[in-house]
Amino acid sequence: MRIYSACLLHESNSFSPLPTNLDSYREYFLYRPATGEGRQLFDSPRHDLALREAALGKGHQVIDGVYCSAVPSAPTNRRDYETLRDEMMGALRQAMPLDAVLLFLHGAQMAEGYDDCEGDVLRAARAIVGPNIPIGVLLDLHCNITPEMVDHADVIIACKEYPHTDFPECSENLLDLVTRLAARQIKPAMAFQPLPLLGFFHTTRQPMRGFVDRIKALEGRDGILSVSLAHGFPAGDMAHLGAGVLVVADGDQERARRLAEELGQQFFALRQEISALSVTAEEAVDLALAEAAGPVVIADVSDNPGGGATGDSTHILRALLDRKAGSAALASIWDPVALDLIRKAGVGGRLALRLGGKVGPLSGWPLDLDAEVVSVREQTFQNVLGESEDLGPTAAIRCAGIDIVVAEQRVQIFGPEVFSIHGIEPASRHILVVKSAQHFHAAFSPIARRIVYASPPGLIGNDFSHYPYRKAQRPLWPLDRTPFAAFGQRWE
Amino acid sequence: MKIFCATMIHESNSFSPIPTSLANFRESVLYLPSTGDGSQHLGEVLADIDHLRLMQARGHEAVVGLIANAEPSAPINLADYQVLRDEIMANLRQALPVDAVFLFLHGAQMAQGIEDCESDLIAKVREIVGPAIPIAVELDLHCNVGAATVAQADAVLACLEYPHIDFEARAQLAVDILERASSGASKPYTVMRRVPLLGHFPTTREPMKSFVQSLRQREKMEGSAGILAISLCHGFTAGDTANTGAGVLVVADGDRTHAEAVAAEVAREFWDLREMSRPQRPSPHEAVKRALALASGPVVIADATDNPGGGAAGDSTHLLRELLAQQAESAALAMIWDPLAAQLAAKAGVGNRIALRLGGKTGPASGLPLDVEAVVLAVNPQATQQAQGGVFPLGLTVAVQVAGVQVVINSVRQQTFSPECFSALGIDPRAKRILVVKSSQHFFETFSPFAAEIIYADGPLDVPVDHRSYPYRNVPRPIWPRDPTPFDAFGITWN
Repeated sequence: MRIYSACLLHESNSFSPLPTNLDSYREYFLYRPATGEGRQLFDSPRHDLALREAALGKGHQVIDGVYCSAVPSAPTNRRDYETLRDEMMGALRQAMPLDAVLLFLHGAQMAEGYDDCEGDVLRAARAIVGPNIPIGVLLDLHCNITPEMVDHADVIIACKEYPHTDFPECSENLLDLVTRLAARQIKPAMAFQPLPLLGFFHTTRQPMRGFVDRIKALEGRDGILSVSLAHGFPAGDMAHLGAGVLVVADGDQERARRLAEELGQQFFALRQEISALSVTAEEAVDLALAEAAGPVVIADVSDNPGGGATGDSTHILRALLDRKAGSAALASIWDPVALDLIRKAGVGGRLALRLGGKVGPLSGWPLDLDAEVVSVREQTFQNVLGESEDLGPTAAIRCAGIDIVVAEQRVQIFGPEVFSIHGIEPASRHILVVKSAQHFHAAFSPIARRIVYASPPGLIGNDFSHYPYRKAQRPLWPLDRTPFAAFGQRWE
Repeated sequence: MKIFCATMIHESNSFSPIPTSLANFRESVLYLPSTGDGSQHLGEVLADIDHLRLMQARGHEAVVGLIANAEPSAPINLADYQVLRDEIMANLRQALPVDAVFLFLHGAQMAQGIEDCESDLIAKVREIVGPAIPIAVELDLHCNVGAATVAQADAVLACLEYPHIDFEARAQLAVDILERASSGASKPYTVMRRVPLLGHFPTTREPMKSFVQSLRQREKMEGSAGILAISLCHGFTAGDTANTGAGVLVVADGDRTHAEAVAAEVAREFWDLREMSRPQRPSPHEAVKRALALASGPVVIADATDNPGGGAAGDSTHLLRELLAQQAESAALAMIWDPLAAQLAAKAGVGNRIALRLGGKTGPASGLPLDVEAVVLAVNPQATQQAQGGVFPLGLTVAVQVAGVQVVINSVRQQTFSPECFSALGIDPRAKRILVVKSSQHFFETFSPFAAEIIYADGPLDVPVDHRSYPYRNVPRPIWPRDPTPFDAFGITWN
């Protein structure tokens, strides 16, 4: 089939101090068909290309639109978002006639003046292709799904795993449904049940694990084509903020609606058990030190760059230093200026370094350290869901026995390579601190004796009560106490 | 005459939080003749001097060796210093035979393990050329000159003006001396007299202005008595070495007793001016208060203790904090060195509002960062300023409005030499009531023509930012003003 493929991925954090423009995409992933800019990015596998690769893998003719992805940060400025959208639509118009459209979107993207970028993109795409050409959408599960998105797409599938290890599998499923629709073999009917629920839900532990497995077992039977759990993205302050359940049934809208409602109540009922629990920075370090053996992995949930945080907060590092933790390593502090000073001091050099805490109040105050330079690498790679991601230049410094990786780029830590490249043997450390909410889990859990989720003050912490929401529709658990009524139902 | 020229300039601040490697030179000026790297700097005007042109204009053949200049910062690591030094040695060997050597050095350069790079370098140059070839050395007046420098070179002189507007004139004088030495018409030597003095001595104000003028006249008048050059070493107080302190250099020919006497006399005159030479510096609070009280502007406040040109970070927030606290209107500040904030502001884009954590990012002397609401006024991806005859890059530079203050934020650490640091961002410095510049004195040349008043502000008192509070370990004591006078030093009594 002749398929148009494009991607627009940005998890927009309404509270992030980090502005987002076209350069933010250029720094991570930007392919523009009109100019050919970024064409070389197709040469190596990336998760942003999952849907494209699935289509190519099945021998379809793929017409490439815009592919762009940026590290989470504040909503994109209006002009640059419109530029990307318009280029994506221009390429779609040129690509006609088509058999199908495949879009990999985030589901929590916002821009200045656009609280729902995905809804906006899908409305524009539908206007171009008309009602008869199927539009299939792949989403990140940290999505705030809106009626507009559901109205203008034929099939929406969100990934099911957190960490998101299943994009390739979901891409295959979406491609299968969209091509069957294009061949008139199925008639997908979508129903979305929004939930008044905020949270981060790790699919690596029970009972969420079992819930996801039960949902997967429903797919492909009794006319149910697909079921997705939208976890919501709590830092996206918009009217449709929250979790939800999206069901695609073959030809039976009522059946889809009933199942979505039923699963929605089940999801909500699990909320206490599945919500990510976390402790303060000090408690996390105390818990780790109390363990007889390591490594204890402390996840700095609140300062996860993968959620739009700055990656330069000093709360946990300060707690490690205050408690003289020793045998600890932390990755990473985003501080390009400190990295340059470290580089100039050179390996083996010592320097008085003011580190971290440089972007805003939630970063905490910078730390003044007497540091020894352990290692400097001009290129660092980490394994991200099976692909190699370039982290750019990084360095390791040692201070009071604690090894600290300092990075030029703002990155979430997915794997232990970032330690080992600097000669830090992660398995030999009592404490490993990573700036990641959950994606670290896939690669670190095999070596971790224990995992502690810490939520110090930060931009994407697990305590939503201090988020300055203005647009989110209430009630929402856990901001509001149950029981309450929402979406025409009662929530106990 | 075939003259070998080389330039190696780094003012090394023992207390700077900014480490130094070859990369710091690469960011400013680094020409390595042996590889050809940085050849675009050949013929570039550096500190008002283009050696090639200068020598050729006087009918000499110039062989240009290393040209290296970095923004002041901490002492360079030993290996990288050796790369610079050995490059000069290789260039010189290649150039042999030569009739004379002219070295443009700082006079306060340190490496880790070498507290006096100039003496180290000059001794090696002497080894190569032998005793008969004249060596002249021109220094920045912020120099801590070692005995070996004076012993190994024939003529050592420094610029006389601060701001250093006379580097070229002094280079011409050095070439005069080399010409006469090379022809055998004279046998120059240099005597040095140390003055146990730490301080900051702008020559734009009295009594330093007249003092320097008198030295220049004396040079001319005493030419017939064998005095070829008289220079003051102001000392570089952030270099913690056994040579740190002020001094006098006299280049002479013939009668050594007379040269010694002239040096001793000038040294005493310098000493006697010490109290008046020391600027009275108001605190940041007082400086802003005083500026606001003045009826007309622009009042220029020099943030003298956070001068990148002396090895400071250039990101301290003390004066900006005061401007905001005292609700200054029509004020502008150039520049806060904060590449991260510049990048975030640029991403936010012109006209947009952004919550910015600004400055205070390098160390305790920087103060705490300021969390401000800023509106982005201008973004210049490659701003520059002209200074000392050359063009210096400022990197990505932005201007933001924070309450009544327009703040210029830049990415390449550099002192504010010129009003271009404002105008490159669309700010008209002449229209402002208050201008804050990160510079001790070099700003003076270009700002004084339109400044209604100039205030040299002090830094914070709780962290070491100048010679009153630096934790010296090597500076010879006693020394003024750290020790009470009278005292004995360098064989005489100072009172």
